[in-house]
Order: sequence, then C-alpha cells, then structure tokens
Amino acid sequence: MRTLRTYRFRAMGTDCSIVVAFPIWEAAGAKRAIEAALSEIGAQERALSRFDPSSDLSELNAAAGRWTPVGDRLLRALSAAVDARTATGGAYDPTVLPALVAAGYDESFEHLRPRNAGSIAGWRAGAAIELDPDASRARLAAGSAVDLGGIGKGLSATTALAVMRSVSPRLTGAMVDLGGDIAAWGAAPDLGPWRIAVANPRDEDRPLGVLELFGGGVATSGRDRRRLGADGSGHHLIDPATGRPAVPGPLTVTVVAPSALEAEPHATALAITPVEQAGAYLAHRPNLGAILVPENGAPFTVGRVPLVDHLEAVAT
Amino acid sequence: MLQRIWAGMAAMWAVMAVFAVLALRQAPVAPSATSATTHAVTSSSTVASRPSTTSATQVAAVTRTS
Repeated sequence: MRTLRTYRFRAMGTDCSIVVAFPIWEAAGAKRAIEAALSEIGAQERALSRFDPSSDLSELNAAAGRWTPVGDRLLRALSAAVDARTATGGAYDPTVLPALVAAGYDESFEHLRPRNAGSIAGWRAGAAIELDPDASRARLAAGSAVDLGGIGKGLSATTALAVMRSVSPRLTGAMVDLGGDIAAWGAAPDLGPWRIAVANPRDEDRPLGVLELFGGGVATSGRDRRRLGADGSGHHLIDPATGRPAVPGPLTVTVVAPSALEAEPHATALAITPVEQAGAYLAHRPNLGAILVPENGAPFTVGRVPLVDHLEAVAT
Repeated sequence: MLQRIWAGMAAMWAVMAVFAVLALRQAPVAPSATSATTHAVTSSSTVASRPSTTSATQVAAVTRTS
C-alpha cells in the first residue's frame, strides 16, 4: 500500500510544493525527506538570492573583479550557469543582471515598484565567471554581476530531490515544485507517472494539457507574468544580444528535460528565441521537448513531450 | 478447529490495526529549524485537482511562468 503527502510553502519568492510517494509504513521516512528538502531549499536560497545582501551571491557581485570566497552551493550554481550559457549558445546568460536591473527588475518581484524601464549603456553579454573550486573562490569580471534567479530554482529543485532520495531510500517517488520549475523522480502512489499540468497563459482554468513523467525536469518561462515598467509593457526576459527585454519569442514555453536544472536555462533561451526557430534549436538537443504558446497563434509541441489530456488547439 | 479460526482472525485484525496506526501517524511536517527562509502555508495529504479539457484530472503540480 502506498500513499503520498503534499507539503506547500513559500520560498524563493514563489509558491512551492514537495510531494512524496511512499509505502504507508514509511511515513517517518517521508517526513524526514520533506524536512531535508526544506532545509536544502532554504540553504540554496540563502546562498543564491540576489535580493539578500548577506547571501554568497550578493557578496560576490559586490566584489566583482576580485577573487572572493564562496560556498559550495554558489560554486556549483555558478558552474551550472556557465555550462548552461555554453549549452544554450549564449541565449541564457547569468550576467544579464545589470541589464535586468536597468529594465526595472531591481527588487524581489513581491516588492517591486513599477517604474519606467531603461537600458544600460555599453553593457555586453558573456562577462567572465572564473571558478577556483580547489580554493572555494570565484571571480566575476570587473563591473559585471550575476543573477541566478531562474537556474537557481532548477538547481534547488534538482538538489532537493536528490537529498530526499538520499535521506529516505525507501520512497517510491518524489516531486519538488519551485514555482513551476519541477523535478520529478519515480512513480506516483498508483505506480503511474507523475502528472503535471501545463498552465495555459490565456485561460488559467483550462491547462494546455498534462505531462506524464516518471522522472526528469520541467520548467516554464514566458512574458505572461512578471511584467515590468510603469505601464506593465516590459518583461524580465533580457536578450543578451541587446541587453534589453527580448522582442521575439513566444508568450510562454515549457521545456521537458532530463532534469529541472537542464530544463530551466533552455526554457529561458527558447523564451527569447523566435518561435519559428524553436524547431531548429531543439533539433540539436534531442533530449529536450517543448510546448510553445506563440503571442499569436495556436500552441504546439516540438520534440519529445509526454503530453496527454491536451486542448484540441495544441498541435502535437 | 474453531479456536484456530478465531486466533487467525484475531491475528489479521491485529495486523490491520498496526497499519491503521501507521497511517494515522502521518502528522503535518514542521519546517526544519534551518529552513528559515521557507514559509509553510499549508500541509495536506491530497493531490491538487485541476480541470482539464476532457475531465477533472488529478495532477500533482502545475508548471507555469515563475
């Protein structure tokens, strides 16, 4: 006999949940796993938040140009971000922070005051991030700054899931959802796949469909939320090529990948890529699949997407 | 013979009682002392229910722009 427990909470400025599936005699192990995941997510947030002036990341940003001691979590996140910048061909770039702040995203979104967006003169993408794991230190190019908001959620979900499995090996499945960045492993209590609805940006009450996963990661990025500027016409997706909020790109894109850590930066990259180029982008990355909702036009899927119960309008 | 049947039934009820106690032990989880930046709002042992195109579909999570 198997059962599950869902635990909902706020972290990283968003709604989160942890779900565990376990044999009913493993309730204590399930509780232990959830507590370990919460602890890990809290530690990740304290290390990676750019809105916490005492975080490892804030201290590194403030010391740009100098070698700075960093903890293991920030070191791993920076390494993942550098890898993701390469894997996305530069479409995802963690050093867009100065451009993001200039565009108006200068506070946690919960406390953001609308103001007219600007841009930053002379800003260039691809600033150097040097890592020295042996000495637990890192150095950013002088004048640069890093934002790990997106990839931090994917990394935290992936890491929390691994911690849960390590702490409670008898779990039969688990899922960590950090505001839509989701890491899943194993089976749901009915031994079937985990079922994850894909929100419809045009109709909150009618999801685009349901993903069925036995493991892997999902992330959604888009310009339907987190609007910026006094009139709400801007958004938070900075195009590294211009340093301004991206013009081309879908309304939303959901990426399915082997892990949430991989899904997140590719979702960001596809969110600033012209919709008609999504097929070419994913053709070179066969382990990914995506559901795209164009600004105008019907939603469609590209690559391997285990989507069921979907709207008729979704072309698969 | 009758005694053995009664003994068997009693053993079966005892096993079922153990399972019932184990199921009832699933108390809400408290955030750990080290997760100071996470804030629990609710705890539940049910899956969220979201409408789908064809029927009320049980899903464990929803992915959306975060």
